[in-house]
Amino acid sequence: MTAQPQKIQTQGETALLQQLAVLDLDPTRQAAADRLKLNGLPHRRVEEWKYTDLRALLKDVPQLSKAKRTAASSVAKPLIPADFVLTVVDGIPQEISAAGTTASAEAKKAVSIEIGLGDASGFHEKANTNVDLNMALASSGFIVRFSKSATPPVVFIDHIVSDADAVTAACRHSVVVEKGAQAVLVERFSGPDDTAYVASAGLSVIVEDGAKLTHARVVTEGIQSSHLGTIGARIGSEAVYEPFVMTLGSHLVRTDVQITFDGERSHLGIRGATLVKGKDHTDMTLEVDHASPNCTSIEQFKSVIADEAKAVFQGKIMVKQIAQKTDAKMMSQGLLLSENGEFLNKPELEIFADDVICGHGATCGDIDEDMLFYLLSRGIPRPIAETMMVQAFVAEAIEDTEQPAIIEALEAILADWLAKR
Amino acid sequence: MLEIKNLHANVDGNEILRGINLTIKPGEVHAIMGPNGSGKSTLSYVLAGKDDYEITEGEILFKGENLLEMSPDERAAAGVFLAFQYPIEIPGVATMTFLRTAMNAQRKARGEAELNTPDFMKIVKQKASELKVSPEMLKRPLNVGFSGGEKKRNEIMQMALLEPSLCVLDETDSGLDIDALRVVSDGVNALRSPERSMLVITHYQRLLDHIIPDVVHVMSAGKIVKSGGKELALELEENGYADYVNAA
Repeated sequence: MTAQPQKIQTQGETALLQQLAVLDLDPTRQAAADRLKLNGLPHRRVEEWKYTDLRALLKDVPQLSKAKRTAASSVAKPLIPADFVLTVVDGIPQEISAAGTTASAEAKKAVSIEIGLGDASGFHEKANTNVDLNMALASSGFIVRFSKSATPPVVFIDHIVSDADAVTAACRHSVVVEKGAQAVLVERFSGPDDTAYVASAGLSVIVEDGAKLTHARVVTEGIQSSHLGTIGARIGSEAVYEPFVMTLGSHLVRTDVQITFDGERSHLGIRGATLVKGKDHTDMTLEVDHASPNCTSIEQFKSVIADEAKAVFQGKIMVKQIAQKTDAKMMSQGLLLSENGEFLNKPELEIFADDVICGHGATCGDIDEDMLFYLLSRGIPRPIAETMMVQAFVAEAIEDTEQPAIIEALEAILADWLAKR
Repeated sequence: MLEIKNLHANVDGNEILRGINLTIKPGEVHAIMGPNGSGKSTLSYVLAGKDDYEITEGEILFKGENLLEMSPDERAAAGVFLAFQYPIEIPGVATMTFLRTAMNAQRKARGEAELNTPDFMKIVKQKASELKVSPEMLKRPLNVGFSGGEKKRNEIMQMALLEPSLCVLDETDSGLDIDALRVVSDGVNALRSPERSMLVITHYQRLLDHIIPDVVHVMSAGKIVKSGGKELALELEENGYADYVNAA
């Protein structure tokens, strides 16, 4: 007789598996649920989760929200002026009201929006716990298709968690930017500070040949919440994908971004800013797969860490053997505003092609004393001078975004965070 | 205006200033000359309030107030301005934003109303053109990509905008060509007034042909070893610092 090692389930695991067990899942969701059941939640001995021990951090998985609720607070102002404003409450997409849209006839023609569970075709094939969680939990979302238009239509998806008891809010959208089309997509996630809700946010993106998508995801969840976000994107030939992920810390934020180059001569410019304070824990894990030749990518991330907060950046660029003439540059920089903050910065390159330009940089430091003194010596008080330095640090990543409205929105969020710090 | 009494200062345990005594009256321009390592720049940083220096003895009175008890921004608001030998580059901070923040912070500290945008723009444009600071430079991040001359002109422009009562110029002539030296000197001379004092730190007599000092001091090994009129600068140019280095 062989004694089977008995793994003790945490409260979070039990809560997760129990509610998955009673759901009537389709085969795809069931497969993800089975993998979660088999492996449990990942802990620090699992390499990808070394710095974010999900087993310890995800203390509970509240009941999935089922009932269709309308937003408790009246619909918040969209982050940027949008042709279509879509709302998701507690993970459940709300009916698309024709009245609420300001879209031009042209934009209406170019955008098709349906309610339904987004597919997962943008993600890597390799199993990933964050993706599995979303696969198992999400049952709906928006399915958005952009076709060719003269000006890029703007779609804003607002994710709200109601003020009720803690819920698990899960959804997955899929976005396809068709051949030669252009689009702007902005997602925002927010919720109350007084419940430990869980948000599982999935997004699958396909940027077809010659298409271009500018995308911003803004995570401003309630302080006790756990946000588990995923973005999986595939980029066709001569296509451009420009995402920005802005993360304000909470109890836990983990975002897994997986990007694959499916065609040649395409460009990815992914940028991000993470702002953490208190005891926040955030983790941005990025995997870019250069699976086609002649593509370029820029990965630029800024993390600002105050108090006792912890920020993690894990960025991996994979260059497949076929992907000759790849040009990839990754930079991740941390700015520590306190003695007790922590920044874990892990860039990785895995290169199998021999004719490529790849570089990565990782830095971490506190505010430059000489720069600060220069500002002080001109009569600028220390708190304002420090704020200017942080803004300058983060602005470098924000400024390269092409949409002025997005830049303005991100800068406003940054200024607001700094004012409340 | 400024009274420095028996000032001693250390950096990392090394005594750099060893008993400086210096009094500058309103409207006077004093020059400090001296060889490398004599403590000239240290004195300028101590006046501006850089915290790398430990004051072990002595005091500094500025308009009768204890300067050493004030933070760098308080000193600036009270009227002390240091033109840096090496102005700092600050990527991501637009020059215009910086100027406006600095001017309004000082006005606020003095209980004055903040400048509105049209007034601010008007005064900046005027001072910038006087100092040959191009509008394009004002749009760039602070000092980033500026040439040596541009950085120094930017310093003097800030001085003109902030209207300090004590201007400390730390080797403002270093790295300037003849034309830039003239522009900078003209800018400084335009600011000379009976209410404003200046402390000009330099290695070379050249700058003092343009900015004529009332008093010249020679500094060596952390002390002022000789003071005299403007002719002292010419004498130094002729004979070098050797006599004074040995004397100290």
